[in-house]
Amino acid sequence: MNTTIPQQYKLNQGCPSQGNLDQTSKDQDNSIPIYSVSVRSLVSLTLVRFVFFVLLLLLVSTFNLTVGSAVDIGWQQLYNYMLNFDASLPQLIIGEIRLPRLLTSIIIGAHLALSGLLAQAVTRNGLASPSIFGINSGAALAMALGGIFGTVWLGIQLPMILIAFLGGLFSAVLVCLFGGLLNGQHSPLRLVLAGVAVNLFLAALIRACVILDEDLADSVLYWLVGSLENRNWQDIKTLLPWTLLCALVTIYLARGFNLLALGDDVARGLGVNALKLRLLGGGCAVVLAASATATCGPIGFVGLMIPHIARKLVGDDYCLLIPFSMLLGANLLVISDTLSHLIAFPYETPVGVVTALIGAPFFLLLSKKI
Amino acid sequence: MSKTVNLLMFFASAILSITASAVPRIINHEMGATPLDQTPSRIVVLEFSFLEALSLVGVTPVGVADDNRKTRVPARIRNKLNDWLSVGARKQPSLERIRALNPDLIIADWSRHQTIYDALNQIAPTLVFNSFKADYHEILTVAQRIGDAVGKGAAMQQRLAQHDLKMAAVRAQIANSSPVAVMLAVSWHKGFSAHTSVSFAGSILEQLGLSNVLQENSDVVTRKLTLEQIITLNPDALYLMNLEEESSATPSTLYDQWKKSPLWAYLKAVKNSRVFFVDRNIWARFRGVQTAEWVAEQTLEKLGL
Repeated sequence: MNTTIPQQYKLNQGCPSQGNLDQTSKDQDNSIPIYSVSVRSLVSLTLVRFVFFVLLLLLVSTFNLTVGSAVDIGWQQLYNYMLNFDASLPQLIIGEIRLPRLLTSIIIGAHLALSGLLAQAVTRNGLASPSIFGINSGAALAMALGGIFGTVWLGIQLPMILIAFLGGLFSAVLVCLFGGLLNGQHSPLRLVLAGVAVNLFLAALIRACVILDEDLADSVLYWLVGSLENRNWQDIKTLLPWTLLCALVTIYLARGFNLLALGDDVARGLGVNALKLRLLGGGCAVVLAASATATCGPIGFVGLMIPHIARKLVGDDYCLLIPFSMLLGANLLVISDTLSHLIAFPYETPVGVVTALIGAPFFLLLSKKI
Repeated sequence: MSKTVNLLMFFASAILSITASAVPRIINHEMGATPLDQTPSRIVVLEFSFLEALSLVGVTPVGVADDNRKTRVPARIRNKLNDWLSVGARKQPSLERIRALNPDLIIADWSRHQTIYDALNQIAPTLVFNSFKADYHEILTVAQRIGDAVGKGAAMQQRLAQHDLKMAAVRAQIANSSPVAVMLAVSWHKGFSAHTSVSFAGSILEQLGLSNVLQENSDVVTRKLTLEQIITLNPDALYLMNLEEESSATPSTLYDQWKKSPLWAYLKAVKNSRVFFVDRNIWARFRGVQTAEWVAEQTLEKLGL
């Protein structure tokens, strides 16, 4: 854990209110008091940031429920829906359309962000994300193929999540293979190249599916750009168990990821089973991204952006990064969804377009830094 | 020697062509004007609209881009025609198969085939008309042009006059009842797209005096809608276009989901029990003169007028 001290120390210096603490650090040679002081202030700073983003999520959620409707839905209706339900039209719209959609946005945002964090932790590569691994496109292709050839196998109706998972797993393994992750030759550049190639290949196959089956033409946009329209309570029931399962597994693995970040050799020396950690973490990343894609199509860039922003805000400790990434991901997707209501009102813009508009410049900035 | 033969051949063909059609006809279409000095006898069509137009004047094409499924052509039209050869999907017709048929006229769709116009033109004189993006009125114009091109202009004119009478009769019947605002839509398992007033079926209903809740001035034919938007638009009647070939094996559509919601009951169309199912093959895919008549008949029948 020693290597994390400089990082926290740096962060501390960056904060003007801590000026007198820097003074003490210069005066004293012994580093232990500084460590304890900076950890305490860091905890409180993290707590403030946590509370801030929870409040922000509440605020944007309220906006998300009320804006961009031709039916008059205001704060009053929202208040009445919660405390004084009378099954009027605006209240039914909140309960049947807007609330399930909002909750799906929150869950999907958390899924994608956590999936991205895991992808970056497992590969120790800042450019890794569910989209780079083609998990979204792979899942989308599997679902499109399911649309053509049917989803009944040996007389059993296969669940969409399973089909999406298999597709996502297929492309993730493909990218790992070409990116050199399986034979230990990987570099950020190689991973990105492999990701781009596999993604283009999958997009070509999706287009081929659409040419083969004209009736899929309606859905082509859906499989290429994700959308949060038309969600219902059933989607939430399907997603939530996976969210909880993966979050628990990931938190259980957090200590392992902290050690893995020091390098494979160090981690192994400290008793971490790197292979087991990678398989579990990678598996969770695929489940999270694939279940998100099965519900609302491929939504890019959330998994790439959020872990980096989270690192900037709470540091490198995975015990904090995991919940914080999920919170930030939820924030980003709810904001994007609110924008998707407004951009082309009264019609909707697919949310995948909005996240891409925000995410593409971010990706360029990031690759310039790396 | 060979020169004399050539000269003789030239005169022979000139005389033949004059007897076949006295004046070379010039057909205006989306890519310019094409002179046709013979009555074409081996025609290839790349959209269903054009097949239907030929069927109105009793001409069978040698090749049709029918998505390799002849059953997509309604039996009522198929029975009037002889057999033809499939030349692939409308979206991706096979140039090889078209060439093998050795056609003397090709009729192609502007939005689907304008990019392969040169390749088609090398095989045979090619006319390009709007079908995919055409509204009802354009379909009528195109039918007349196709009639002219195959040398049956007068017959087509007569058939279109009959058509106008039929449509006027339906329009009169609808005008006698109270006005109805309609929505036309396709519901599938991940989305709900409504056809606007400029879509083929939408423009027929406009012509019949039924106004579409999605009035459109541009050429946007479909709009994806959410349940909230449908409730806001609140049509008096909802026509859901499904495919007859779709079996029960297809996943449940958004309509199946929504009809269980308490919000669905707020729709006027639901309150009046005016949610109807119609065949998408006729209402959206075929886009022809005769199909327009069937759409008009079905509209009346469903509304119970």
